[in-house]
Amino acid sequence: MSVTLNQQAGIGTLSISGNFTFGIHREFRRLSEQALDDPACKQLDMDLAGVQYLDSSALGMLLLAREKAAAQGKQIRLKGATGHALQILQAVKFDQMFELV
Amino acid sequence: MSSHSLSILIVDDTPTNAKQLEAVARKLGHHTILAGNGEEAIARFQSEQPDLIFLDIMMPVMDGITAARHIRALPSEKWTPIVFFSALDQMQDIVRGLEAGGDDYIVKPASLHILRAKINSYARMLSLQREARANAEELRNWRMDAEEQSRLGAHVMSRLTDASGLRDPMIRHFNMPAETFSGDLLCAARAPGEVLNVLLADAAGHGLAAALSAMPLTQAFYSMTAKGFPLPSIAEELNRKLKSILPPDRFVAATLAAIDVRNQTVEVWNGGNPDALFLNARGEVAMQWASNHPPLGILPDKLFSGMTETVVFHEPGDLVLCSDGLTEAENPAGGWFSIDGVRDAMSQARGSEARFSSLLQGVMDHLGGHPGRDDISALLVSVPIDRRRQIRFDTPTPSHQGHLAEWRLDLSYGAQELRYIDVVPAVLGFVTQIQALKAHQGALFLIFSELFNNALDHGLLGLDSATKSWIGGFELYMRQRGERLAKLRTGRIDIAFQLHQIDSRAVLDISMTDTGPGFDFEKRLNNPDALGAGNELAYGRGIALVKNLCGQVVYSGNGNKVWVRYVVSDLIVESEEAEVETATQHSDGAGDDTDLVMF
Repeated sequence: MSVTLNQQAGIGTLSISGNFTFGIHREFRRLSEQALDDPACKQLDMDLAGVQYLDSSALGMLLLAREKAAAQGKQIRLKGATGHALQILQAVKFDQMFELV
Repeated sequence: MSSHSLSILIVDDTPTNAKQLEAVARKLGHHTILAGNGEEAIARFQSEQPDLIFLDIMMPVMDGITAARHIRALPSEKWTPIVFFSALDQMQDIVRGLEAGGDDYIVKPASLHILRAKINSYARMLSLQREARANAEELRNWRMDAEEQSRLGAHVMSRLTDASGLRDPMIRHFNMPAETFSGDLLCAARAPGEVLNVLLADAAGHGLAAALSAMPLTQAFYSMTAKGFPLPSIAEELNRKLKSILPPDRFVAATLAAIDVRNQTVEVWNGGNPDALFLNARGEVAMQWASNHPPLGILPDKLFSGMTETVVFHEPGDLVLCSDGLTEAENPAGGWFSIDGVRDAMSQARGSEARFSSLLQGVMDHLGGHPGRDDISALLVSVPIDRRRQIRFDTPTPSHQGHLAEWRLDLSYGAQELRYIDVVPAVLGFVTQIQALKAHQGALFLIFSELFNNALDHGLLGLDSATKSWIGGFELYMRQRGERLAKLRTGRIDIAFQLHQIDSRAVLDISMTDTGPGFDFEKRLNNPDALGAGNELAYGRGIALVKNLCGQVVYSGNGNKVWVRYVVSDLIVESEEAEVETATQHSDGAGDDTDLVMF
């Protein structure tokens, strides 16, 4: 599993691959805060295309990032989720809380 | 290095040698103990418990090698280095010393620098050893502490979650925690009108933190169920409660279900849990409720929806709720049990007990002896078709007081309140505060909710209960009810309760008047077929039930007024031996002061 951050033209992209679980919470938190704290970053995309599995702690991390983003008037989008990851996001109705693209 | 002072045992029969070592050790700030031979060395070792020993080999009484063997044979909790300090300089002497339990060997004479360096080196090692021991000790204390807290936590948690409701004969359940604590929580309780409410909650994560997150649900679930609140209101309250208590990254997936055997409905709210299934007698999935909402504790009140899905069942079956620990239980190859696995495990078995065991066995086989990664829980409700017309409540206890305090309550609800207040539980909350009525909560709930729902649904909302008898009609009825209630702007329902004494009986009169157009009660209720077996299933059942419980039911006005009398108890004034009768047996009271339709 890995987390990487790319920033381009005001959009930060946090790419997560492998199992999105508590094991990556430090990296996830560090990089999402880095992006959200950067005034140049207007929007943060979570690229979930490489995620095979995500659990409830991953959902918690996304909610926390969403809260932080909202406080700064920024948006978080969830990108490219497929298979199990997409099923989970739909089951918990995250499509009502995040923009799913 | 810590400048911790060592206590050093110096064993030598030559005072000059001993003095030399003693001088070096003291200069470095250590404390010394002297012994002149092996026997003395053992005695001083036992009494003084030194940190380090310098041991000569050739000595009278007992030589150093023998002394080292003895010392090593003694039970000891810590490592005490033995350094041989001897004039014997042959290879075999050195080997013999080390084999006897020595840690080091210095040949005499040795320079002061070497002795100083050796002592310093052992002081460092011993200080590391001390640190490691202290850490191990601390860890042991932490662990004992944690185990104690765990034990206490598990005890309190089990008491708090131990619900007699789960011992309902309709319910089977299991809950296998991944750790000491399960973040899965199961609750079940009967609402006053015999409806069975169940809750299966799965807090994010597992262990104590998860168990704590789910905890606040129990109290709200039980108290609201006991008061007869509808499922959507319970879901809203549970969400509100968790939202206010939990941090933003914590939430609780939950399935709430209300099983109403009398009306043959199953109502479900599913937020984030696997599909709830209803398996019919043939083992087919007759109904399925997918997650329709986010888990509890995420959305603020105004965005949250407690909207449930209600389905009418026409055959008996088993309602199955589970946590994702069950569907995501992995076999050794990493494959999930899945919702299909849940269905398949049960579909071949006949009867709830067999189904439940097959499900449990199925998941155990799937796990292949490994523990689950997450808490695994499931709850199965056997749902019967029960065509009883009579509802029996516990025999009311006779009141031993000679006189009953009379009591009256008048309430009037306008459209505004009717739109958002759960009138039935709110009103019964008051009414059952009256001591004499406490034991009658169940019967009063049924009577009052039937009368109130008739007044609201038919009187003010103009719904036709015949709709319910069509296929898919119940769902249509519920949808229309929701839509019309949301639009209700005029209308009023007046309610009056009066508790008083008639002859030797305590009775509760309930009357209800709505501002709707009423109905042709004479025609409808005098029609012998109206309450016949066929129609009773679809409508009229509510009134039949009220009649069954009350004995006297009187309609008047345009049919927009109804009055009922419920017998609370026989007052025992003189004869203590008076027979106690159940409320349902007092159906003889025909002679009331009205000339209206009466059952």
